[in-house]
Amino acid sequence: MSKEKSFAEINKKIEKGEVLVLTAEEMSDFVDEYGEDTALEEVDVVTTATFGAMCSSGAFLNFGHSDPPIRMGRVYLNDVLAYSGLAAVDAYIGATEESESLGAQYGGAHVIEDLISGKEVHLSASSKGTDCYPRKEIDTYITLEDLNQAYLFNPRNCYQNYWVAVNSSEKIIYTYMGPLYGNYENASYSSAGQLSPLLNDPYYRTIGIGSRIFLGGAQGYIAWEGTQHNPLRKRGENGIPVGGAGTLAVIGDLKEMSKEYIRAASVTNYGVSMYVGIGIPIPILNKEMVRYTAVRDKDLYVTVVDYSAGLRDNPTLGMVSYQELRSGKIVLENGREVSTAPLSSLNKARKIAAELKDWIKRGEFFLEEPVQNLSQNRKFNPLEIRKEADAYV
Amino acid sequence: MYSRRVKLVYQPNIVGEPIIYNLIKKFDIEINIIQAKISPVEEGKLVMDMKAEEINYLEKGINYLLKEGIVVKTLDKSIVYREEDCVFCGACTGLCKTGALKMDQENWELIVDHTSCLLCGMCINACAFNALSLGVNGRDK
Repeated sequence: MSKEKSFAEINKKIEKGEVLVLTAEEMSDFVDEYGEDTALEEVDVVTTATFGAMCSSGAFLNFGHSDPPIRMGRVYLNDVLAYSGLAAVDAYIGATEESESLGAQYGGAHVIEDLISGKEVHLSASSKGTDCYPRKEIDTYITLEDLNQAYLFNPRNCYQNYWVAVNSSEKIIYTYMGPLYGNYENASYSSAGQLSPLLNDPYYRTIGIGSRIFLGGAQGYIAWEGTQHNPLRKRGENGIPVGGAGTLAVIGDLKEMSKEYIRAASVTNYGVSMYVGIGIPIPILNKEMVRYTAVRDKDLYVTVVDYSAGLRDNPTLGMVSYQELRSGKIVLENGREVSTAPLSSLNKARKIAAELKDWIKRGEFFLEEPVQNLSQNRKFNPLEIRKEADAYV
Repeated sequence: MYSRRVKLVYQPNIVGEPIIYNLIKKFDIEINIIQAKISPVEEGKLVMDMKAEEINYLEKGINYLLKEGIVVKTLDKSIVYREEDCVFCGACTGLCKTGALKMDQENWELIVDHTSCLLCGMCINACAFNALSLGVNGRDK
């Protein structure tokens, strides 16, 4: 019988400076060299990370009150619309909202990046005016420091696996997976593979609501399951999903984040997105977690999807491993050899995993046991187009 | 050294002419061929770098090409890579067909090899961070 560990025991080791932390890549080598029993005995925490495009991101901001005060109706930050159907001076700036004047060159993600960089941002808002909030227009400048609260609250980040995108049509198409030449000339993929958080904890045993994480260079939290969380996605024999599956909603203080790990992106002929850096520590509680965190790119499979059809369920062309994708060439089910390129940054993901490891080793970051697990059976519903139901008849 | 990247277009009737030999021998120009499509029956296309100690060697060499009836287009631009804006995602490498942009398989940083770039500009479309653009470089002296 191998011994099990608890979150509390691991945190005690962090406090005493006796914790052994490895990145997910180091863990694979460690298990290969010393075996699972020794790994369980010695390794306390494995750090995982990813740095990629996460469109479903944005930030809640509170501007404070002007004198006389205004109940902000339409709010613009550097000419990008922020949602303000909230209390008087609260707003949510969504990452993908585009500038009224510059279009996809500048958007919500750029506003967030500018705020993090300490730049001044132009704020303009209009209002109908009320007795208690008489002001009808405001035009001013703000910085991150001026804001009372500014927190990133991203409804869907950190996808558990994703897809490989190719294009079978004759001509180039521009997608959120980047430009794809026709006739399967290139393939793009977007995952940190063996370093990716939810690929190292495929059944969400330790990653759940309340988990403390690395978010954009700050300490943040998992707030909820992410939108489109789809734990029932088809899984391989090793239990790992072969396409986009689980997702996370995450929250963290924008004031503590760094431009190094939050970057605005303008995807050609698609629009604005935001690259988010996330790191998640996985406690090595038992043998099961040893096995999960020892996973390698060669064991992680992902489905190839033809993006040219523009359908909800695009045609698929078999599965490939992340090891094959990283080699620069894959062979599709139809025999076509295709060159590959990543969209998420392994270089940055490694930096995040290493930084999180340092935080834990230095006793600056403690693990938080989930207060509730993520759903294992949430159904992923499509949107059907239909007439109004006869519910009231 | 003075250098210039040029694209030559010529008709099949001069394919037999030893133009590269002449550029090297008579005009003392160093030639590095980047892309060549030559056939005895079709229009020929050649992209190459020309290097010389003196700027007038290059000018004389180009005048010789023009006299031979070759269309010479100077490619005086190059891809400018701003590493400080790059996140090392690798998106650009998928669009680059000549291998001018590659990911280092060890540390997953971008490797830029200007000598094999054909200035197609697709990497500029692929970069979401404006880390790549087209700039004028001209001479490297």
